[in-house]
Amino acid sequence: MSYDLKKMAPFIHTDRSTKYMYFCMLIALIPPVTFSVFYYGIRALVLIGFCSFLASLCQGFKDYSAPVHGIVFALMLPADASIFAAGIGVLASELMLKKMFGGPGSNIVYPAAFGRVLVELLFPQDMVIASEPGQNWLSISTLFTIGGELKEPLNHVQYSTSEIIAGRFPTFMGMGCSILIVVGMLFIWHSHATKLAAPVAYLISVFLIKLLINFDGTVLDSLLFVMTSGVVFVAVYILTDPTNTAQFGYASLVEGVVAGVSTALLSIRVSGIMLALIPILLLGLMDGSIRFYVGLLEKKRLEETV
Amino acid sequence: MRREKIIMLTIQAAAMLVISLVIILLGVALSTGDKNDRVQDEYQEQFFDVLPASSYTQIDTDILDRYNEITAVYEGFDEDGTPVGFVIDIETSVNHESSLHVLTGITYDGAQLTGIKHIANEKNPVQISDEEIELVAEQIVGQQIPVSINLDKEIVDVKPETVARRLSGLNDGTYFAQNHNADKSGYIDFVEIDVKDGIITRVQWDAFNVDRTTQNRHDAALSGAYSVSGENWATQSYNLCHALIDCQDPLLLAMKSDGTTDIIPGVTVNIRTFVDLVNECIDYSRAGFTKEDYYTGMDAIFVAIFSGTAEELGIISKDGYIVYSFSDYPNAFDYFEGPDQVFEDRPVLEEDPVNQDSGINSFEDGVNLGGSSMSSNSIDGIPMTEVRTFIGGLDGEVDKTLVVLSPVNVSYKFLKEYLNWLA
Repeated sequence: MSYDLKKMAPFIHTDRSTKYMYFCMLIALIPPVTFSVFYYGIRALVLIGFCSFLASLCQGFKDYSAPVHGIVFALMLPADASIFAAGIGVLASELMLKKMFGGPGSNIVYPAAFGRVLVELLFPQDMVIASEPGQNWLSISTLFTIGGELKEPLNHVQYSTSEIIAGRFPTFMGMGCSILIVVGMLFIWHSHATKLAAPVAYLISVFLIKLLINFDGTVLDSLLFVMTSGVVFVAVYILTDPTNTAQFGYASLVEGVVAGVSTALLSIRVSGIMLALIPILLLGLMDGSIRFYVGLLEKKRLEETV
Repeated sequence: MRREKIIMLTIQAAAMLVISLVIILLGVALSTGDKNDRVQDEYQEQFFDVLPASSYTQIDTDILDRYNEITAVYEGFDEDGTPVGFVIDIETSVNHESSLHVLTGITYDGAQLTGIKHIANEKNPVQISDEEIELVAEQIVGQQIPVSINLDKEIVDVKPETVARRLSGLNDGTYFAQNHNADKSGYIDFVEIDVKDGIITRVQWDAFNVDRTTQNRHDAALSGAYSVSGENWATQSYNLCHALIDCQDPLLLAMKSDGTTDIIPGVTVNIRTFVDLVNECIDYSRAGFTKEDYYTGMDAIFVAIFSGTAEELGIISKDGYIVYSFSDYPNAFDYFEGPDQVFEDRPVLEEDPVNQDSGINSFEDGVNLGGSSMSSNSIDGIPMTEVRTFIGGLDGEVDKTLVVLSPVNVSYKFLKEYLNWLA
């Protein structure tokens, strides 16, 4: 059978449309959103709501991916981020990356990742993790504080394993609760909203390569790295986007592995949000090429089989 | 999407919310123990040096809103859960430019300082070394708070190598002079100076009372029994003595015809008595007529008039001063056996080329002592009458000593309000 026959009618019609997919993604985002609001309080609620609304506003409330991207962007922010910095990130991702390149589905990289890296470069003082989960629940002053004194960053080094598993360590708002993110991933799988080949390949690659490069580390160390570096969040909510990541065939596996290996190797020198997002941005730029060449190889293999 | 699909998605969303909350609460329950242990380990590492305790709890109170310098307050407990004291994380600013960040440990009744520890993470740290902080800490740890500096004569001291100018002809030793008559309050003023290497290194100006049950003017001023307009008399005396050490020549104190001076901050009292007595001491120094010689000379008066020495007449106070007003004997000092030399001219001020850049202020411009948080009848807003401990502080570094005392006193003020509030 010719490879081209695959494209011929009849086609199966299903209600699993783009709209349905992004609705499912919104539901899958409920666990990290709940976590953020539970531990970081009003600040988290305001930032998530603001980013989601602003992203939707930029697309005229017609694009269902906009609120998803807005929420994903907000969840990658520290709890002490200002509304101003968040707004700049959303505007950059929605207007610069989406609208200028042709609207939803035309962005060359994942918009929220782009916006997040941009604000990290523009507002480094605002992007410092300076709050522990459960602190300053009712505080909103940081929402309106731009710049200011450079805060002392907190890190998770002295936190216990149980605290890390529970997500109760200083990190970006929605990126620390790995178990809840996995719950979100399970919902995505159950709803068949998108494919999980790329995310799973990504996570396994990160874990295995990290285990290899850490000569004196243990399996637990690699696992804790996966849980604290934000890669689980990236895998579930960014690598499941069909616009910038292949969803079918070997291309999705290749992309997952490429992103995972580069993340693990980059962790030798880089940490923080850049570690989680730079490989993803690079993958977005290479996505087209990877799909093309893997597609060519698949076609060749099929032709040989036929 | 069909209506049924939307309803199903809504139900799934609600289920996700419930599952999320359950997992979060489970995580809280399972990790709280480890979290508390970690937090306590951190507290032990930070606070044990200032307040030994088995556990610490951070306090949250509205009173903290009134103390911008205080970052956090922790209460320490022993193994039985009995409170042992408080640790206060405080960063006080100095002249709105630099700051000092310390932890202070205070007993539960808010009365005694258990420790003070410098946290060297200030953005603009005050110019004080850890050794200097440690020196002050040694004097105040274990003492009752609040704390102030003892403006006693022993504090006004200087190293000769720091003085750029000196009077000529001064001999080393201790020199003393007192007024012949008591003032209307019964006080007899005296001045005592130390000269070392030809430089006035210590000056004391005080007054004892003919009623020997009455405190010296210095102590009476601190306790509030003796008051003058403006700054506390003891403070003014201290500033004046310090100014003299800076400039060495009483002429440079710029005393006006009414006996006051405008160039020494905070000094508003009449300084004529002080200047006269200092000049007398300087004359004695040039003549090598020490304090012991002075008392011997005074004894000659008593022998001549009363046929007995001061000791025999019982007019020596417990501090060793000869307490007698000669107002009824205006010519008594004709019997005084003073120095052999009599000086017509005042000693000449000469410049020391070695110490030109010692940092002492220009004498042509007068004397500038700089600021201090200790003023009037209070220190750091605490009345002097409330101060429990007086220390010597750092030699010749009043301002640095006050910088270290300030967080301790602010901690006292906070705890006083907090504990009263609890009551």
